[in-house]
Parts: sequence; structure tokens; C-alpha cells
Amino acid sequence: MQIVAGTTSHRSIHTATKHIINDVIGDINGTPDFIIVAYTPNYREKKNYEEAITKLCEESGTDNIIGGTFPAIATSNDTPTTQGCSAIAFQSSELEIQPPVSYSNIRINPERGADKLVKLFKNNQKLNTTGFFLTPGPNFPPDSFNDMKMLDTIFAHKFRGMFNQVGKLINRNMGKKGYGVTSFAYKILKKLLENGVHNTLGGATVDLDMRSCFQFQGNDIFQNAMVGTTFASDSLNFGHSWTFDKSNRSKTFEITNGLKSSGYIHTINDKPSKEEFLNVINISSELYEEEFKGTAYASLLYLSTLKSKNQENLPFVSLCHPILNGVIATIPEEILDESDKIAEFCTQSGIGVQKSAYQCAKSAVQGIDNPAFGLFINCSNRLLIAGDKTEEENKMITEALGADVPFMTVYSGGEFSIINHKPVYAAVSVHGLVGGYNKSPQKNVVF
Amino acid sequence: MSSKLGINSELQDLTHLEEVEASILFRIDGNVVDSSFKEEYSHKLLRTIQWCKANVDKVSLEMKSSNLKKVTYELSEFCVIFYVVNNITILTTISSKNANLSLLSIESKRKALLIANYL
Repeated sequence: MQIVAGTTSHRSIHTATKHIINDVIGDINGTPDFIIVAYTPNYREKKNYEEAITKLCEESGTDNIIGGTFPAIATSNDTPTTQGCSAIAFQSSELEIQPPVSYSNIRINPERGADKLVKLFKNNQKLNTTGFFLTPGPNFPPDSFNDMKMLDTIFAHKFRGMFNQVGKLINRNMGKKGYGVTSFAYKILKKLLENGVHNTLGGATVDLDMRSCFQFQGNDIFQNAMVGTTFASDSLNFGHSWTFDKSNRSKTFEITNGLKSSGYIHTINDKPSKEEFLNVINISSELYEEEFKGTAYASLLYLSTLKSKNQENLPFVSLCHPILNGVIATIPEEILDESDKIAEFCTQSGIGVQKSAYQCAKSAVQGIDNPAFGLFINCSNRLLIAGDKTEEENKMITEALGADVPFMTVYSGGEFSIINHKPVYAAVSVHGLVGGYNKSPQKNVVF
Repeated sequence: MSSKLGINSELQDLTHLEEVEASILFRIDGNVVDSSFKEEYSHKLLRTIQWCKANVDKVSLEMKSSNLKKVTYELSEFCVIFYVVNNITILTTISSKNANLSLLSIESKRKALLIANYL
């Protein structure tokens, strides 16, 4: 089995691609079976990515490529970059990777996209199977907040049941324009679960400047699509895990009222939500605006978590825009339904971010004696918290997996997993998938 | 690629980033080893570069004595990141004041490491 990972950086996408072809594809003896490729969003134009991916397909000799654009990317053997390309290529007779699928317009119809992944899972007859998919991420260009102003109206407050439907329409309308959060991914996870999928990993492409982000499948470049595939093997095991920095827990607050269909919170602790949110985190609205305007007004350092009945504490991002009175929360409707509505703040720290990356990798590799590769979806918010110490996170992952294990980390706009039949939809978290061998052959156990 | 071309290419990569105005490789005595600028630059930027040139020896002394790898200055018009490349050179990245410094420091660090390989 050959698995090669590499990262390169250059101002020109063509040079970056040329280097990645030399460093990664060139190291594979023959044609790779499958490649995951990630570019940073600074090359902007769709045409640039089209040319780069076409070149990659031509030079590698395979169309079995998926990927997307992420604010930063890294691999086990190189430091992270915010201006370049990372790739991981696979060639193995033991690992069956299905030709990837894509579904455009995933924001509007996530179930149909999920159907495509389900088919891939059903095609597999191997002992161990897992999935990997990428979606578009949160996108809040300045105009988008105007569409949400009607969620503040007196009618929206008084008739929440009816306005939940309006909220759905607003979400759908924003989805059509490519705006909004990634809560549709929860529907993909649910659909996969209903169809017996027990493990998978997913992440969202994002541009922190809130311009276009892209997804790749073969020669095709999409803006609002899901791309994905499945990994299956009789000899390799797959380990999954996820975590976030929960070391600094502070205050709790109650989500008293809101429009669950659009994740829009009207009142917190029975008080107007935006004022109370800023009050709880003890920050003035001017300072909040100054601090977070560069990240679409999302309060990155003050991560809120909700205790869900069926899952652990699930982190979500809260967003206070100056023209809105409410707080936008990235909580899917279903999670809000099953939680007790008491949220807790976990203040993020650089050290905490590093430690949680180690925990995630260590837990994913548990039960695997000889890890062969790793894929990590790490939140781009954690990237902003870690800054130039981001590299330390990857050193921690190397420590957990072993020095020679190739892995790839993309810094995403949403992280999703199904781990042992449980869906995990989280923000500001790190999710990992590790593939590898066990010394003793696995036995089928019948309970 | 020769070291001179290599270093210049890394500096150009930095200035190609939207919010970066200039990237300069200084010797710790204030002499410029190499530099790259956006095509259009203002007098304000030139004044900031002069400020960097005049202060790089003091900054590097402070970095050395306090064992600092990176120092960031947020000036009224620009942000300046000084990153240690090796014992005698410092990479200086000048960006607009609205730049995302977390993201920029990731790339500055990467470029400092790459430049160190050329020296």
C-alpha cells in the first residue's frame, strides 16, 4: 500500500499544482487509485481551480479525485499554509475506494445528495467501511443579513410557530443564493444513519473572507455541492473520533425562545438575545464588532455548547450582526429539539486546541495497532485561535499516530461525523478518521 | 533555484496575498537583504518601511534577549509582523490594518522557515 501526502505553497496555483504533482503523485509508483486535494481560497477564480484540477487529473491518470477550498491546509510532513495546495494520494489493493460522487445544490436538497452516498455504502461488501464527504460551508456575505431582518419583527416574536415556516423559507432562499449555515449536513448524517451507515467523516469548505468556496470531484468544480466517497477494506480497520477544547468552561445561559427552523434566537435568559449574549460574555457591542467583523461576526472565542439527549455536549457558533436584534446560532433544528436548551460557554485557548487535537487522534487510533493514514477535519475557527501555533496541533497528531504516518488536515467551516451509529454535528471542533492494521486478525463476533 | 531567486519568490508569494503590502528580509543591522512590494504603494507605506528599517535592530535585539520568535506591531495604518529567520535575518511582513493576523502569521512563519533553508 502506498499513501503519500504533501503540502506546497506558491502565489501561482499552477506552480503550486506542479509541485504537488512532483511531490505527491510522483512518489506513487504507478497511477494512484484516489486523491484528496485541498487548495486555499486565495486563487479566487473558478477558472484557476478548473485548470489546476484538470492538470492534476491528466498528470495523475485518475479522475478519482475529490477536494475543496479551505482557509488553511496541512499534511503530516509539512507546515500549514494559507496559500497553496495539499494532497494525499492512495494506491492499494487492500483499500477499496469507490469512484467519488457529487450532488450539486446540496443546501436545498441534502437528502438526495445523501442518497448518492448511501448507494456507495451499499455497493461495498467489505468487512470495514467508512465514508468521507465535503460540503459547502457557512457563507454570510454582507447582503445576506438583510434577508434575516424580518425574523426580528414583532410578528416573528409573537407567532413563532408560524414564523418557523417563514424561517424555513428564508433559509431556503438563502440556500439558493449559497448563503447560510451548514445545518443541512445534519440531514445528510440522519439519512446515512437511517440507511445503516455507522461511521463516516465530513467537513465543509469555507472562505473566511466570505467569498466563494469550491468543491471538486474529478474534473468538475462546484460551488454548492456535496462530494464524497467511501473507503472499504477487509484488512484495514477505520477509527473515528471527535473532540473540542472543553477545558475552560464558564457561564451557562438558557436559550429561552427562538425560531428553531432558522437557528435564530430571540431571547436568552428571558431577555433580548443579542444584549444578553454580549452581557454574558461581558463584552461591549463596539468591541464585539471590532473583534469579530473579520469573521462574519461569529464569536469564535466564546464557543457555546448544548447538551443533547442523544449525544454529548455539542458545540455551536453564535453570531451577532449589528443590524439584527437576535443571535444566529449554528444549531440544527433536530438538535435544538432534543436538547434541554441550557447552553454553556467554553472559552477556547491555544493550548486547549492543541491538546484536543492530540485527544482526537489518540482516540481515533485506539484499537488500531499500525496506523496507515489519517484524515482530519479541523475547524477554521480553531485555526484563528491557534494562529502560527497551528503547526503544533499537527505535531500533536503526529505524536498520537506515529512519526511516519501520512495524514492530511483541512481547516473547515463545519465538521460532521457518524461515529458508532451516532451523528455528530459540531462547530469549532476537530474530527478524525484513521485507517490501519491490527496485529491480530479481526474476528466477527455475534452477540 | 538559486538562493537569491528562491528568497525573492517566497517574498513575492507573501506580497501576492491580498492584504500584504510589502515583505522585506532585513539583516538585524537594518540592511535590506531582499524585498517585494505591491505594484502600487503609498507614501504612508514608505514611511512605515522607514520606521521598520530604523527599528529592526532594536526589535531584533529585544527578540534575541527575550527569546521571541515573532513580534507584531499594530500601527495606525498598517500591521507589521517581524519573524525571526535565523541569527542574522528577520522577515518583515507589512499588511493593511484590517488583515487577519492569525492567518497571516501562519504564512509568515512558513515563509520564514522556507527562507531559512535558502540562507
